[in-house]
Amino acid sequence: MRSPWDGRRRALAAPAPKCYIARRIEADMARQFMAEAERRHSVKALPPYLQPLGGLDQCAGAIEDMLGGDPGSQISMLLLVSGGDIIEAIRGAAPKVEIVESGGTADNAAVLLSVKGGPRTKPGRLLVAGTGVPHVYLAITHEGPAFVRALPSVLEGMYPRAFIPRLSSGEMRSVLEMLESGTGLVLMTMRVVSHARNDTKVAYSRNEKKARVSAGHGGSEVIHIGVPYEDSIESSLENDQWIGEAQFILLDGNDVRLEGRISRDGLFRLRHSFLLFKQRVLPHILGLAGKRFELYSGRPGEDNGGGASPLVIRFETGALDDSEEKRRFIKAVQGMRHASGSVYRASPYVNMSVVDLLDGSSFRIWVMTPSEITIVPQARATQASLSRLIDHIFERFQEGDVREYG
Amino acid sequence: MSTDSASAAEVAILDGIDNYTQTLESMCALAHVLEKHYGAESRIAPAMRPGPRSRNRAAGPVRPDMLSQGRGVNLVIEAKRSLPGSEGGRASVLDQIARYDDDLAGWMRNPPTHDIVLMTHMSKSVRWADFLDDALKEKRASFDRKVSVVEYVREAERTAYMILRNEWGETSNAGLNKHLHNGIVVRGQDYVKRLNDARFSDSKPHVAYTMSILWEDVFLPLAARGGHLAAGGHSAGGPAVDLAEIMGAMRRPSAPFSCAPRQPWVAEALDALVGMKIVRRRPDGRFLVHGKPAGDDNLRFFVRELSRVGWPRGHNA
Repeated sequence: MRSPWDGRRRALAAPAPKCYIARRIEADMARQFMAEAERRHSVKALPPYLQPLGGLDQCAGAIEDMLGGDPGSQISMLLLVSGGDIIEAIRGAAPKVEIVESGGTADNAAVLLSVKGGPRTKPGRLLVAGTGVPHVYLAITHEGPAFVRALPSVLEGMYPRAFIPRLSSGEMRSVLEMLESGTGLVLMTMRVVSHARNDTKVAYSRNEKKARVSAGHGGSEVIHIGVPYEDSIESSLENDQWIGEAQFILLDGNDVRLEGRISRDGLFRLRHSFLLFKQRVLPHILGLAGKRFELYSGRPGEDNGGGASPLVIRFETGALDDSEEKRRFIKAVQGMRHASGSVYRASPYVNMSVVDLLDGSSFRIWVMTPSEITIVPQARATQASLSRLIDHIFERFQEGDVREYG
Repeated sequence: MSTDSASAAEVAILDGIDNYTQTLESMCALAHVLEKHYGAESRIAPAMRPGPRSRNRAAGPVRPDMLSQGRGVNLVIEAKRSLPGSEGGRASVLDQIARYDDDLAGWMRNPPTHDIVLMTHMSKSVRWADFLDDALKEKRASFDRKVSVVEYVREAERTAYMILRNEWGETSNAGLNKHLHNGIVVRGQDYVKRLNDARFSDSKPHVAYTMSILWEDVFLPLAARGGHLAAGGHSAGGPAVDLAEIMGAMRRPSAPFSCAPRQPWVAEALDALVGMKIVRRRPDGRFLVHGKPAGDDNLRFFVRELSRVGWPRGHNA
């Protein structure tokens, strides 16, 4: 039976409307609480791999101990490429990032960063370490997934002084192959995520256990669960999809030696072991990034007294056979974010311009044959911008083999 | 060039721009052939003047569309897409050829003599040949040097290529004559690097074309590097440039097979950009980014706007 006081109790329990001053005091208290939490986090003892500060080789043992000692802990690494001073590049990411300590020189630099919390970022620590491969760095952190997910946006201020090289589907496959052949262990792919390009209908087979629409890439996302990576990658490529991520475990008999995830956006997450990956697989990945840097270097006209040095994306089959494919290509390039351009010819060949609004790099793109796209960097064009353009073409039109013109 | 949903005026402008670039393309194709077979070096719109043995040393400088010099090849090349309709226009063409038919200075290496090549589109080559034949027969012209008409046509099946063929006359090089008599097929992919450099010739393009190149080669990179295009937006302000600085940027010294546009063409393009409120002219005469073209194709935006307002000074080459 309801008491006559019930209504009164409910009224007392409900929060009373607050005056403006009360709301301000509450907001100030919340801010103070957040600042205190952040301060406590910043003075928290650093994990052993960050003290003393050292490069990849110096911290590898401590990371191995950390992962070996706690099966729940993980380490995440993000590939970075910089043609100049990495510390200067990091300064470009301020105020989101603050340099706590730096040491080493050039390619063996070690920089400890503190990432500030924000609406979409969590505070945390990050080590940027030289890898021994010229111009290639790894951003390493033990922080949780929320921190790691936000890393690319935290570091975007480094563009174009440093950039995150994205891996092609072929390179993703080569990393998975290296995991198997380089370690001699049994590789099980738990999950491979592929993405359909725009306006491509996804045909689901029985291997594709789950699919959902991803808002981020404009096309459907297909998740292959428990399918050998060779099959899932082959099926994805046949269906005009690109590979975004692969989650794997390496088994030695019944023992899990390594559990991890590799992403197209240069991110690697590991559990259980670090040294196995560092010794057997990482050199291959760093080599891919190093080659990419070399290929994209010295292209603009200003760097070459004799004019710009073009690059060609070559396709095995005639990807640009007819005018409809050329139109699809043009539309794909025009969809590049933070870019502007013109179409000077659409048929019988393609001649279009692209200007990167983030750093002023400019390119001319030519399609003269069905199997080649020629990209000519103009007077000024950065490696970061060239990388962004090629990645965009790979993800929105088709992946190919990037090589010298001629 | 995509002409989907374009008005007749827009299509006419886009066709004019296409004719302009096709003429440039024919020169790139010929330059490629001459380099490949004769080690020839070619220059777009070189400045030449009467040489020491000139009939008329007091004559002013000449500026052919291209100059090519290699083993046994010394060519002064004029590209004419179409034959002028008026008698006056045709007479001025003969006068232009007569000025090339003289001792000229400005070569990479001084040649004993040179030949004159008139490049024209296949659809007009017979009319050019008849015109020159008639002029010689009627003694309206006489040439001391060899003059020839080379036709070009762009073809594309699966691969883009250009065909070059001799239609009339000959050069001093028998091998080249034979090549051109049979017709030369040049793959687009072989001259694409040269074509990338060749934005302008000695002829005036439509102002929309100059606007687009000015916007993308000068203003956008400048504003982007100044951090004024953050997140794809355009903000008024940023670095301002004057006409001299713009001309400096358009000279593109890093592109060897290139020719800077003439200053009046650039000034006209700036006027149009200011008129469209894409660029602002400050009281001190310097220019800076003010707005941005709508849509995802800058050239199409400029063509549409110019045809809408009937830009009075625009014309096709």
